[in-house]
Amino acid sequence: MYRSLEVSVKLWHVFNLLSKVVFVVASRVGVYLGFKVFRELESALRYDRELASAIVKKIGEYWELCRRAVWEEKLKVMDFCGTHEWTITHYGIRGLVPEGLELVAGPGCPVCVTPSHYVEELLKLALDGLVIYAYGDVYRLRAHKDVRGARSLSDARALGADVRVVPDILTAIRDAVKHGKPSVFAGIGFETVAPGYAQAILKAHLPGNLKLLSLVKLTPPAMFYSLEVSREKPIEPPIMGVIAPGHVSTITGAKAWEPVAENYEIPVVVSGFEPVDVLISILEILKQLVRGEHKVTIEYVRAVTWHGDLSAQNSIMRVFEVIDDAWRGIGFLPKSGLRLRERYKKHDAFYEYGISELKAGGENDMPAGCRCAEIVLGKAYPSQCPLFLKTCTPQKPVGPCMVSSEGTCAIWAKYGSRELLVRLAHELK
Amino acid sequence: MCIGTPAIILDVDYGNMTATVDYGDGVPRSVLIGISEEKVKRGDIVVVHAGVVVSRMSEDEILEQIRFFKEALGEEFVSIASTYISLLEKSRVIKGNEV
Repeated sequence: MYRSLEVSVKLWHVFNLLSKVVFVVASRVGVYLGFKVFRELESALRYDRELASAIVKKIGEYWELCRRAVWEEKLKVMDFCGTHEWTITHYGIRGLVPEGLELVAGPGCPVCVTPSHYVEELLKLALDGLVIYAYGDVYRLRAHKDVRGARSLSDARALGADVRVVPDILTAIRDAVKHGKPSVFAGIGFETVAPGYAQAILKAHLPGNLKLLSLVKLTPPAMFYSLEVSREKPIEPPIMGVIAPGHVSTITGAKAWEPVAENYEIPVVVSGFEPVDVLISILEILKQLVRGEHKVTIEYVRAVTWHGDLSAQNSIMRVFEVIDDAWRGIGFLPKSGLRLRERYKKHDAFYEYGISELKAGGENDMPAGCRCAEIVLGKAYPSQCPLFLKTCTPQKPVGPCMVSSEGTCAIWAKYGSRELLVRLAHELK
Repeated sequence: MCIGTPAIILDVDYGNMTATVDYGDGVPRSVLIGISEEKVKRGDIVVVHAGVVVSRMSEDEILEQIRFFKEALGEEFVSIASTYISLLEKSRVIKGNEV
């Protein structure tokens, strides 16, 4: 009798365990089914040729109406995110839109616009023995001046410095905690990374030995500047539409672009990153131009709202202050950068290591012949740079636009065969 | 710097504003939560950028997206939309049995 009780107790445990497993699996299935649906939506937005063709056809129709409505044979639509430029180039979207509709890349690459001065400061710290944490493209970013034999953090590492490539700040934090040596995290990026950096500070994740070098930049001032600059050259086709960055907008909200739409009276569409997302955004821009509208519209509604995330905006404002910041090759843009506030100076690499800020009126910090500054503003195409694919290649980059995976030159070099052929044909005419 | 990856939240540490996510390969990884913590709970689909959760992209948001496409494109999209809507309904029913 004792044995049968033991057996039934065991059976009960087994049944209990089994039901828990079934429950977990079923709930996971529910969760994963939701994920599966999401993946299928993204897949349709990437691979559905029927859908893409239908949209391209509509773009053609609206283009005809648009040309008559705005009295222009040619116009430009500018994107402000390296990933949008990547999608446009990689999926050959320039080949799908009508002749006369030019898709041009604006300043969407934070690594490309970080002044050489800060790279030089990081090189000094690296060669002085600090552990430097950097993103992959920051690791290869070349300074204008030689610092004790190193032009980039990868050079510094070859000379014996402890430079570690990390995909995100959390990895750097966990690593720094393990060794406890004085370390600096190169905090480059746009508004999208800022709330993460803010949380790292507010929730005391940053260990005492790891300081943040905040080099975060804000996108709206760059958008204003690019549009201002484009108006200075009346011979160029005018920029009559903007594809606004999708993930910056998840934080700032689409409202951040309203001053742009109002001031320049052009449609601004916050777009997702799949090719169909971009095609629909282009269609939206043309529709607005035909109707004589200039509003901010969200195409990427699955991730972006009008107000953005107020909690994120709050944490950014608590931790950071807005300063006039230097953009490589461009100069100072008002209220375009973020630095840690005074009360958080114990986390601040600027404070801890006496890093100097760049003064206005500094010398040109682009390599000789490099046209990255103009490319970043959409004033030139990579193929118009004398160094492009000759001395400056993805394997051996010279300028910043070639270093970053979000840089226009790197994208054109790797994926832009059509773009290069078109430009070549254009020049031969 | 805009590239973001979708992921599912497996676990959340609200006190530390960190979460464990799965990018679809079954490997749990840690991320920081950049947005309001009310938007992030187990099972939510989120967008992660440079190790930071920047947006939620769960069922409501996906339905919003489908609705937007229907408005913007009209009939061409209707057939594709219905597949997703029915799958989403199934997912809802299964998740509904969870609590």
